[in-house]
Amino acid sequence: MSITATQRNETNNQSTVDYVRKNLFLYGARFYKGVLANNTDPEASQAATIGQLVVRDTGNAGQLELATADNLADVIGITFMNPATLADNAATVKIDYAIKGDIDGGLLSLPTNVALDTTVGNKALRDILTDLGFVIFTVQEQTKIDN
Amino acid sequence: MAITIQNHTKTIASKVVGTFVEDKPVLAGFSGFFPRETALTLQVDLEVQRDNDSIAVDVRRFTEGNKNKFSIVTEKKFQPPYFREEYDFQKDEVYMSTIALGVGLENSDVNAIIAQNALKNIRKMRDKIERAIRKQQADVMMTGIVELENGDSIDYKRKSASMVDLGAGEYFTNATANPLASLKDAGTFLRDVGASSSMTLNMVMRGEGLAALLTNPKFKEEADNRRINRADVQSPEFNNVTGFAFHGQVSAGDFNINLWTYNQKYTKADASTAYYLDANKAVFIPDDFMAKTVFAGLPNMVDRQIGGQTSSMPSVTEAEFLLRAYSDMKTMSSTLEITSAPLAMPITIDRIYTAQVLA
Repeated sequence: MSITATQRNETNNQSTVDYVRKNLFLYGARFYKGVLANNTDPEASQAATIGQLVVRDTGNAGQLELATADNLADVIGITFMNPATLADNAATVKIDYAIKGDIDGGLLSLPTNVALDTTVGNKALRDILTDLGFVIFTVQEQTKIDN
Repeated sequence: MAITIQNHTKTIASKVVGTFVEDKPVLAGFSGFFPRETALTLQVDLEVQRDNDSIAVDVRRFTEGNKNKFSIVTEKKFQPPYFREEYDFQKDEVYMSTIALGVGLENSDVNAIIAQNALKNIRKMRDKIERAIRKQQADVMMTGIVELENGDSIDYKRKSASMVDLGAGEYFTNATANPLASLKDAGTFLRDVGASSSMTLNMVMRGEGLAALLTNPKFKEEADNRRINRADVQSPEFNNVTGFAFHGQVSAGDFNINLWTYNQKYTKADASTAYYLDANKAVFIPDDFMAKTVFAGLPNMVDRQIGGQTSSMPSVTEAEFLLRAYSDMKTMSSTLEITSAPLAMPITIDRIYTAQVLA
């Protein structure tokens, strides 16, 4: 549920904008409210957006932080929020996060070097998400950008 | 005795027995493919959603279905060029030759003649803009780029595969060239890439292209086949509305192709003559090609009431052409101007195919 706009061909007499709508949560999604903290890398600001995996911030009760490639087994949900930049020093932002539902797997924003088939213990990440209650679909795009 | 310049004063020495004011009509050209629409805005938009042409895959009953999304939309925004042609009354030929010479001052019709003459000249200025519209339409057909003099040319980004050079071996003038294969390629592009569902194409070219086609050995061989009738070329039927001449129909592959020539010309600002269509090109347009000639909003001055006072204020007018008159009471000069902001805009941009058929 976001729309991006990309401009091209802009001159004094013409301009083309490609709009792409993204609908991550397809059906039956349920949400909890939470507070996302920048504890993953407190030394740097952090970009947060819809479709990222979250884990519990074990150092701060009631708070969440973004998952990394090292803690995929601890994932508890998927962010549903307006894009935000969390400043350093443990900045926080209020978010909603999904705990179940049908999702478009192609619209997840996974950690660096992580894919749905990345192995987590004896499972793949997609199995971890399935265990949480997510049904991951490959949604076929029927439109395209052309001339 | 030689005729002196004094003899040109017609009330003394001669009688006008006829007049000829040359009027070159602007024929419709490709306008039939570009129906007109007006807008109140400075810019005009085209919304596009492309289709991936996907096929459904069956699923097991009572399991999940195939998920689909239609998430990409493109908005194309264009600012049409602006044309402004002006006519000054004091340069009116009727005014100069009749009023200024003191002839016909008692004639009560003389003011009507001045107005009629102004109207005629306004129409000629409108014809200039109409020619610019024909040029835009031809630009779309040949290159997909509407060329502007005082702005950035508008590029509709036609696919390169829609504008091909047949090459020396396949130019219609080459004895071994197979023009019908080239015509079939045009139809195949329009069907497969342009998603045209029309099996009838209009091939529009100059006389040079037609002459080369009709004298091509392979084409003549096809036309001469008495048992297979896939070519029917006749005497030209000139349409004096469009300026196109119809020459018959040929078949190539799955397609029926109407043969047209379009040999209309115009005079450029530098006084040189140019044709709307290049002599070495042919354009192919299916019957389901869609386009518009859009006229953007025109700046105007309109009297409005502000605090009980009438004041002339800037405004915008939705019209194909806007006629404005303004005058200076002291110098008794008066000007008529006609403005327009037209843009030939293809909607089905991939349903045009252009081939260079001659060197």
